[in-house]
Amino acid sequence: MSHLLPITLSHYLFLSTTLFVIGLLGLFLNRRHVIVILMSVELLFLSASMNFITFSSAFGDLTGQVFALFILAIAAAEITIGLAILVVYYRNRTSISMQDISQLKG
Amino acid sequence: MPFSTPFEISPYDLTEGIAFAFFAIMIISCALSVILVRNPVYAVLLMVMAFFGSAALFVMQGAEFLGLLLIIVYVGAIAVLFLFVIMMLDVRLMATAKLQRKHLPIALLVSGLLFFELVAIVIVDKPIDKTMQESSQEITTEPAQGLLDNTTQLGLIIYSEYLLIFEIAGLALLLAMLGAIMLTHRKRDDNMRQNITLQRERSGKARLVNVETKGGV
Repeated sequence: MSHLLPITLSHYLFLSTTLFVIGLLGLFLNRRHVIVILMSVELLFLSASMNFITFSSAFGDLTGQVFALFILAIAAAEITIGLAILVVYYRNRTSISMQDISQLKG
Repeated sequence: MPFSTPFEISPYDLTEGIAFAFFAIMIISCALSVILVRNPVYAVLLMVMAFFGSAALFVMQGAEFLGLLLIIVYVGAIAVLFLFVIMMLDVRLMATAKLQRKHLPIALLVSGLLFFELVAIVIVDKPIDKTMQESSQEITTEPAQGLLDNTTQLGLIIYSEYLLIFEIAGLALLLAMLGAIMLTHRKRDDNMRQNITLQRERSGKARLVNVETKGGV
């Protein structure tokens, strides 16, 4: 057990890597509707900002935390627009299925 | 204690290790459940749990402002937004949708490759850990004597060095708000709205009368 301690940079990097891969799998293996895809994108954002914060605290540099803050802001903006598009799409088509979205494909 | 053995574990390390293991397992299991669970409402709640765990880890790493911000923004705003949208849409329709296995081989290939690449970087690049230990690192949430705390430091740096980027982030949020309003706003014909212009242009019908006292119009 002692080799696991203390918690180092590598542990956090493993965690954020795993989180990123889970988010990526969520993008691929979706349930044919958009809402879980948006949540997977949120997980990807979380993994990225976790990396930023880990390196920020490892190197004692606050710039990483500043950029994690901007990631948070951009993620909030992205999710707002995504959900608005989803609502408009549902109003027009009464479904949010991925199959229907690909109908426009030539 | 006069001397310490190399294998000694300080209580602080042990607490940190146990806390990290707890929150890491919580994050990973919740994130896996988010993409596997059928009901989207459960998925949102599990995502909230994953964000709680991450916020705890952020606080453990000394970024307490961002940890609390994560809770406020994600739990307070984004999760509620997700829940609103899910309630507006048809939940039963979504819950019956099956997991799409069409892309399973390429999904496993891509994510497996990416995972091994990233893990290999972490394992091979051991100097990272050395640098971390050299550069002071006792990660604590308590500010040292005479040092500013995390929030103050972040405020000082955001409002001076990163002012322009900060304003651009605010502009992006404003644009997102305007875009969401523009997209979802629709004019209804059936609601009773007062049209001031139409009222004032009622020429011919509206006229000035001399009302007789106690007689009425």
